[in-house]
Amino acid sequence: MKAERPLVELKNIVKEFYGVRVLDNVNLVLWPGEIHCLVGHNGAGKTVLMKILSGVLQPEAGEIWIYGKKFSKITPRKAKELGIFRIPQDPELVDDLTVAENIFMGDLPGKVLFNPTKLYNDERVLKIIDEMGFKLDLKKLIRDCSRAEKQMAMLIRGLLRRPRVVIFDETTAPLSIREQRAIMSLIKKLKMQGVGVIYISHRIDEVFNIGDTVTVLRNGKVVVTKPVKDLKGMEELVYYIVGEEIAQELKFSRNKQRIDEEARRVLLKVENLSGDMFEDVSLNVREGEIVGVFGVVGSGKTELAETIFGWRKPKRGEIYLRGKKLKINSPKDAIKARIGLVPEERDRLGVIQYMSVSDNIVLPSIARFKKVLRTFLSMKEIRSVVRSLIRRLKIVTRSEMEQVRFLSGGNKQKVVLAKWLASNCDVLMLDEPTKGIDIATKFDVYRLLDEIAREGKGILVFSSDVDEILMISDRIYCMVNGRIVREMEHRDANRDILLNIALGEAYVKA
Amino acid sequence: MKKLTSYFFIKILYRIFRSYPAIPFIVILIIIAAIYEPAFLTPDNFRSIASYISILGLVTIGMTFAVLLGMFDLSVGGILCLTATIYCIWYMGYYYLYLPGPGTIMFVKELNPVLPEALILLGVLLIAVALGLINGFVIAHFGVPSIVTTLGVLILSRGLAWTLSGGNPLYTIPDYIKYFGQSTIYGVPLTFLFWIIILLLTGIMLNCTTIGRAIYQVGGNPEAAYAAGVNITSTRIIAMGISGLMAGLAGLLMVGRTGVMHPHYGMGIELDALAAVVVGGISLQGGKGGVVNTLCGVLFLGILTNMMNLMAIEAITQYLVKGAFLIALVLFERKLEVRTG
Amino acid sequence: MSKPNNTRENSGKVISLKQTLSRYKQIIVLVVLLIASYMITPAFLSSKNVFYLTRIASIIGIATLGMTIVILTGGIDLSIGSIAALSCVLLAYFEHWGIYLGYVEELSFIAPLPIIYLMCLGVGALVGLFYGYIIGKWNLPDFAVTLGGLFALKGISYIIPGGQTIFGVDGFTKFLGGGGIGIIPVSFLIWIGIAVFVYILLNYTTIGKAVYAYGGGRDASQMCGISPVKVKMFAYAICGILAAFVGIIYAGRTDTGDYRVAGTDLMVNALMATLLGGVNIFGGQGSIAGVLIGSVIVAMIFNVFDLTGLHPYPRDVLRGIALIIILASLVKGEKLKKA
Repeated sequence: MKAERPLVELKNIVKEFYGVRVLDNVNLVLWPGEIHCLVGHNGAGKTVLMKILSGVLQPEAGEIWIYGKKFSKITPRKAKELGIFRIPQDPELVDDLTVAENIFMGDLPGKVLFNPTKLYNDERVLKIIDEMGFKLDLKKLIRDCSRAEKQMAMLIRGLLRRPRVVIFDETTAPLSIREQRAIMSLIKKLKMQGVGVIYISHRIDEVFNIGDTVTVLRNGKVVVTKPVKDLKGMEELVYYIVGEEIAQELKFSRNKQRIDEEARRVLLKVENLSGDMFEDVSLNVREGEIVGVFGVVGSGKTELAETIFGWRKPKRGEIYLRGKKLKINSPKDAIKARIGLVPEERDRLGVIQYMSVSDNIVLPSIARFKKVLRTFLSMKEIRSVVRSLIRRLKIVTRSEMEQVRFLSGGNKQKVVLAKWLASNCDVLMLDEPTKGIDIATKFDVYRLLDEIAREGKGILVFSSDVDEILMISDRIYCMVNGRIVREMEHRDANRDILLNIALGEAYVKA
Repeated sequence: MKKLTSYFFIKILYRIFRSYPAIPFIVILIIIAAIYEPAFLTPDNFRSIASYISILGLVTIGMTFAVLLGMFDLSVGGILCLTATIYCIWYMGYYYLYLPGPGTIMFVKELNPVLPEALILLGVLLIAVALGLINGFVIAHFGVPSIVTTLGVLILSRGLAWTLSGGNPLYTIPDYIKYFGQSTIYGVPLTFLFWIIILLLTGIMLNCTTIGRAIYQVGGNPEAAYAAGVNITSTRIIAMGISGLMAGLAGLLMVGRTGVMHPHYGMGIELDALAAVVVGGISLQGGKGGVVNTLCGVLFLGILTNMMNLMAIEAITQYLVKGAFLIALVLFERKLEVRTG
Repeated sequence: MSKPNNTRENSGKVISLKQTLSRYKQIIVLVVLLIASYMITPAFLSSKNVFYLTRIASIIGIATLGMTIVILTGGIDLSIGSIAALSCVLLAYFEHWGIYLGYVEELSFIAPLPIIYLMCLGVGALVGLFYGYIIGKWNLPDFAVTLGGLFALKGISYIIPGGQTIFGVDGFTKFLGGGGIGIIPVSFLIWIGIAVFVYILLNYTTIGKAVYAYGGGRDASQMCGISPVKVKMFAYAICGILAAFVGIIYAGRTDTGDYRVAGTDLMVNALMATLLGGVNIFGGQGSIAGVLIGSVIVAMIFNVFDLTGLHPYPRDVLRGIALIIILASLVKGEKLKKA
């Protein structure tokens, strides 16, 4: 590599949301022709960092140097002018416009007037489609497109204006093997042209496949930045991602005390449930059991959890609680059936940001506090229940009347858990329960789940964190592309087996 | 062979009806009107409908711009009124100004209208645009919901209009405007042709200009548009500015058509425009719809109003019909969406 | 850990030393206005005017309480003026049952007075329940539905007495509208009573919590089992009842039943009072004490306009400007909430 200026230098980037630090003094350097992989657990801050680089978000502190020039703030348009392009995880497209119009969003030919038909036979677009071997109908409306087609549209948009920096954020997830290979060769070609590539992926094998350098983020901090060739294999990388503490704590008490399961009754049974992103799912949870559903991002597990909870409508299938068939049309029905859900999107679905901790905790079970004249709420009772839960879960907050939005991610999650404890549910589902949460709180959560299970409740955990699943589950289901492909007892499961199933042949190859 | 063509024909009809749900309603309405009111099918009546439509139509075009972006403009009636009032007052040469004091004192100020016609016209329209831009700025820059912002501008502009005119009707309207407002070409009112031209221009703008496409992009998915580098703030401001301009044009056309400026002009037109937008098939959430929808909606509302006028239903009673109609419309639009969406 | 510096009031909790910051702001504005008003017209503090001012504040205040609940759910009711007008017309109509609509020696009641009141309030409730149901069930845009209602109800109020004004209502209603107990207007006592009632509703009942929850986070609240239909029906029904009550008071004050007694003026005043009271236009935040002060502020402005003889037309100009300024300055901090 010639001695030249780096394309991008991010110095001491700090980003906060509602007073919570999601990026803490992050540094990253990108050279021309370098493929720089950015890895880390769910919620570590990778996408936020890239959003800052592409101008969508502004940092609270830090410097952004591009081609040797310093910027304290970039707008998306400026980033585009500078040749920085981000291909996001969730395609940012307008449903009611055609593929071609979306490709040219922000980049229409002509300053004011233009000929709409030009969009459909643009040479550059056609060339890219041809080279990549894509099959894409430019006239199709985005709402009618498959996930893969949407991703392709985003890709073409980025390549259209000869970018100098391209950011791939979990691009390969919805694509077929052949398309993934096309992406990989595209990235290699970009490298040869001197374009800098930042590649975000959950797939460690991809890092070893094409990466030159890798940066590991954990809880908003950079753990390490190293050339890929200096890594001693996958274990070292995993070690950085997952952290030392977990390695030691892997002997979680849960594994030791295995009580006879056969005698336990089945609490929740899901039979042949089909919905938006999943097909023919059957699983069950017994009393006192923690069942894990392991699947990567996009495997349909969130949709499954939300459907069981009544937030989404199923196409077919049944749900039984203690053998009785349930008709769940809304979360209200699920709550009545004593099922709870700790959703993945904590800020949008898990907590009500502008309400107090206390109100958030008692909301689903509010009816039981109607003590005064059988209609009015007893503040005293609410206070005592809330305070005892805050104590039990060690929720850090100035007072129970503080608005939830001021709490850290981990404490917000504790509030959500407290909410379901207060409602005394029988089955608790959790979707990515420790996403974006610090280590200490993570283990508080695991301990709590263990306690709850011991009380005889059933717990269903949906997670893409293989260590988490292994640590706390009694039984594990593997979910791939919307289907349950395997069920196994904890003693039969280990890391390799699970990752193998989830990632398929790609994993085995590496 | 015959079966094939009829099948084909039905398929096209079905497609048209799906995209423009107002069309069957318009047809039904025309049939009902023709049966109950013999006066409906006369060329005179059509002229009257066309005249009314041109005014409502302009305002509705403005409303379309707003709705495509997910915003609403309640101030159109007020801007219409103020534009027309200032225009007339300029030619009148004086206006009223109420000042607080022991009792109400009215000051009458003299004005000197020795400016070229075009300049006055331009000036008045500029005021209309300015009000629209104020709407846009408060909405786009401060993030205030469009409903309450435009409500504020509505009250402001109508109040200002009534202040200046003293609440009195004004009669000083230049001849050329009256000529424009009242003449016809081969029986078709000039104002109607004017509106059709504006409608076509709007269609071209929405489909073939950057700003037009930006409107659909921002209306369809603001976050995506922002990330792609589209300037959502200026898109919104421009759209509201256009809405203001349309309202101003409508005001001028109105005084041209009737030859007098009544203080209550524009009252309730926001209801009509909103109903027209919804009935024409433009989604209130933004990003969907075009000028054909606007055309259908305006046609429908124009015919409906005309029908009620022929049946001698008073304006206030018409409110009842139109208000209930709007509620029903919004209800069915949503129910339809849920089923197909 | 840095916190955003606009400390919004806690949902529902009034008695908390912490939020005095926002509360002080309102009281300061109030006091400043008081002094300014006195300087503009010394007649401001005459006992006759204080009585008059309190009466206006009560009327605006009652309507504001209703508007507040609706705004807390993230909605708005543009039609409260028309509901009040309808209620006013209905009251007079029910008291001229089967007889001449002009001044008469003796009124003809369709039913005993309390029943008539119930019917008027009931109509307000029905309108509100209707709004709430369709808005809640199908997630319709609040403003469009209530805009339609504004015009439709205005039309109905006009049609019922056949376009005429009905003259004359019963004495008790007139007492409610204009009378006083000592120096305190009756409407003031009613206003305070309703305020206490609404406060209890919002803070000590499940439906009250649901209102704040839904306004504070639509999706998250539904995840907790909150039913949008119930919340919206409750909010709009209360708003409708309170608007109808204002209509009854108007009937008493003007001694007539006419659709023109109330219109968008009432709605805009209530809206401004709500906003000045610290209620977030997007919903989920705000307290009763704040809107009480807000109502007084709006009433004072209205009153000063009256005393200085400012004509209604320029008043509107000022009102429009004030609304925009209030909105722009209040919402700036809240931009974070909506994308």
